[in-house]
Amino acid sequence: MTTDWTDWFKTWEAFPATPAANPWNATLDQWWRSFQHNRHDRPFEVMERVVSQGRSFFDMCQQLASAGSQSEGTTEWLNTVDQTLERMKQAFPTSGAAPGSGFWQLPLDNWQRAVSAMSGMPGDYLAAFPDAEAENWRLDTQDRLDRFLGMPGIGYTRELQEQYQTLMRLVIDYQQALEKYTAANAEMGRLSLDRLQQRLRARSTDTHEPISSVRELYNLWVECSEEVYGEYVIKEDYAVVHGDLVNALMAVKSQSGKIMDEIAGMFNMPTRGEMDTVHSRFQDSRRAAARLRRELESMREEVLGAGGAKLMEDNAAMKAAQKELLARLSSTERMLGELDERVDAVSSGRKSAAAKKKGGKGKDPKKAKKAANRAKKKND
Amino acid sequence: MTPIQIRPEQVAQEMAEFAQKLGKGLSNLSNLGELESGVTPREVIYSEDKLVLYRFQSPDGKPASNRVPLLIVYALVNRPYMTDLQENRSTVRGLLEAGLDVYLIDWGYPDRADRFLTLDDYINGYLDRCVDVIRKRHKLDQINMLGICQGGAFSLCYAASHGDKVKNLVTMVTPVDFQTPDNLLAHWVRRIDVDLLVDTLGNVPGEILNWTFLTLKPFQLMSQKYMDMLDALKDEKTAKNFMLMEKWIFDSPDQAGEAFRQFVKEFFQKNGLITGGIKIGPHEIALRNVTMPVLNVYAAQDHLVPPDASRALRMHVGSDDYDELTFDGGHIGIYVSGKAQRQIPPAIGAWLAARC
Repeated sequence: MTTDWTDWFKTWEAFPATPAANPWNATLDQWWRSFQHNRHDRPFEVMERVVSQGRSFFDMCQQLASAGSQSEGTTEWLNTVDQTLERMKQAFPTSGAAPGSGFWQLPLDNWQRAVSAMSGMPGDYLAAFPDAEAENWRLDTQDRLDRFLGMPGIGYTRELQEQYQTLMRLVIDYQQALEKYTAANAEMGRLSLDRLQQRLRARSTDTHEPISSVRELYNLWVECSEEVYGEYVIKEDYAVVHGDLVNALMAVKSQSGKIMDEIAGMFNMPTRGEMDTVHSRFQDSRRAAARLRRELESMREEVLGAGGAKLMEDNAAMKAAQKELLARLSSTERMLGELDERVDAVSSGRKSAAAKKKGGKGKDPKKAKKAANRAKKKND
Repeated sequence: MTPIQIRPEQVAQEMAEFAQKLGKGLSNLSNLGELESGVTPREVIYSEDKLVLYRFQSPDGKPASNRVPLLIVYALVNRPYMTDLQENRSTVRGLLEAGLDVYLIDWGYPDRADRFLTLDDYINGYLDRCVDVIRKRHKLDQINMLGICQGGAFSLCYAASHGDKVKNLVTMVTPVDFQTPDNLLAHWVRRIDVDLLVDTLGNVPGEILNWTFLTLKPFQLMSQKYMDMLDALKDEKTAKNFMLMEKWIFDSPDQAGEAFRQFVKEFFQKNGLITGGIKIGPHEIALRNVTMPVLNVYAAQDHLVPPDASRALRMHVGSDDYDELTFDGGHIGIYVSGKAQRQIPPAIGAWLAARC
C-alpha cells in the first residue's frame, strides 16, 4: 500500500466501521438524495437498484482497503485483511438475516420480493421480530405455545377457532423454514469470504497483476460468491431447505385461504372453492365443445370433400337406376295395357259371337278385377 | 506483493465515474419513452381464448423460398417477443431472411379462468388447432415446427403423437433429460410439493418463476448486472437494449395451474421424456415415435437448460435423420446476440431447405 493510500484512509478512522458510516457510501447517498427528490417513476426505480448495489460495491472496497491502510508489508497486509474478513464472517449470525451489506441479502431479498408480489403481505413481515429474540421467545415458549395451539375449540365457532390455531402453527413452521434458509445464506456468505481470502492470498504469490480498481475487486467478490453459491445450492441438504421454505409458505397461504373462504361463506359471498368448481366445470364444457366442434368440422369436410363426392356419386347412380327402373316399369305397364286391349279385343270378339249365339252381351267380372288391380298399381 | 493496490485517486475517480454514469443513465432512461418489442410486421391468422397465431411478413416483401411454413412454438414461461426483440436482434427476421414463412404462437397471459387448462388442452387442443389452420391455409399435410425451451418439449410431445402433421422438427434450447446432475432447477423442483403449490395458488404467479430464475445466479443477476447496466446506459440506444431485456425478464405470465402441475410432475420430477409414462390426453408420449428429421440446437453455456439436458434427445429420438447445432453462448444469447443472429437462423433455414 502506498503512503498516499495510508494517509487517505487515516482520515476515515474517525468513522466507526459500519456500512452506514462508510464515507464513500455517505457521499453516494447524499448525491443520490439530491437527484431523487420526490421521484418515483420507472427510471428512478431501476436506478435505485443500481445505487443499492453501488453501496455494496463501495462498502466492500472500504472494508478491505481500510484494512490494508493499517499495514506496511505484504505479510502484514494479508494478516490484516484476513482479520478483517474474519470479523466480517463473525458478523454472520447462525440464523436470521445476513447483516451489513445488502449484497449478502440478495437471495433472501429476492425471496421477500417474490412473497410480497404474490401475496398481500410484505415478504419481510417476520423482520418485525428481531431474529435472536424471536428465536429465544419461540424456544422459551414452544411448549406453552404448542399446548395453547392444541387446545380444543368450543362453542359455535369451534371449527373456525381450530382453523386459526392451525394457521398459527403453520406460521411458526414457516418462520422456522425461513430461519433455516437465512442461516444457509449466512453460511454461504462466510464461505464466500473464505474463498475471497484464498483468492487474495493466491494473488499475493502468483503472477497475477494486483487488483487496481474497485470494480475489479467487486468482480472478484461476485465471482467468489457465485462459485460458492453454485457449489452449495446443488447439494441435497440445500434442496431440502429450499423446498421446505416454499412448501411452508404454501401451507400458510393455503390455510389462510381456507379461513377466508369460511368467512366469505358466512357473508354469503362467493368463495375460492366455489369459483374453482365453476372454472373446472366450465373448462370441461369447453373441452367437450371443442371436441364436438372438431367432429362437426370433420363431418363437414367429409361431406364436402372426397367422402361427400362419393355420396353424391352414389346418389346420382341411385337416381339413374331409379329412373331406369321407372322407365322399365312404365314400359312394362304399357305392354300390359296393350296386352289387355288385345285380350279385350279378342275376348270381346268371342263374346259378341257368343252373345249373338246366346242372344245376350255382358262384361267378364274376372277380367274387370284384373284391370282394376293394374290401374291401382300404376297409380301407386 | 499486496494483491490489492487501489490508489485513493483511483477510488475517487471510480466514484466520480459511477455518479457521472448514474446521472447520464438516468437522463437516457427518462428519454426512452415506451419500450416496444415485437418489431417485424405481422398479421393475426387465428385466435382462440388468449392465444394468438401470427404470421410474419418478410421485410423485403419477397415470398418465402421454402414452401413449407415454419411454426414457432414458444414456452409458456416468459413472452415470445424475445424472438423478435429489435430490428438487429430478431430470430424471426433471420428466419424470414433465410427464406422461411414464419408463424408464431403467442399463448397470452392466463388468468384464473384458465386455471384448469391442462397440457392436453395446450398440445392436443391449441397447438393442434394452430397446426391445422396453417396446413389448411397452405393446403399441405405437414408443416415445419420450431420449439423453443419448454415449447420444444411441447413440440416433441406433439411430434410424437401427431407425427403425420410435422414434416421437420427443430428444437432450440429444449430440455429433454430433466435430471442431469447440473440441472439446478430440476434439483430444487424435486423437493417442492407441487400439488400443494397449485392447490394453494391456482395459477402459479410469474413472480415465483422470476424468483426461481434469479435465484439460479443471484449475485450476477441481481447485483453485477446492475453495475454493468451503468455502462449500458451510456447512450439511448444501449439503454434501450438493456431496458428491453429487463422488461422481457420480468414479463412473466402466470402459469395455468393444472398444466404447471402436470409439467413439473411428469417432466421435472418423473423425467418422463426419458423414462416414459407421460400421457397427454389420449396419447402416450414416446420419443421413439418422433421419426421425422430433427435438428437440435442448444447453447453450450446455458445455465437454465444445461447442454446435456438437450443433447439427451439423440439417444431417445426415433428419427434416423438427427442433427445437432451447438451455439457458443447462453440461454438468452441464442436469440439476441449478434453472433447468434449470424449463425442460428441461416443454419436452420439451410437445414430445412435441404429437407423440403
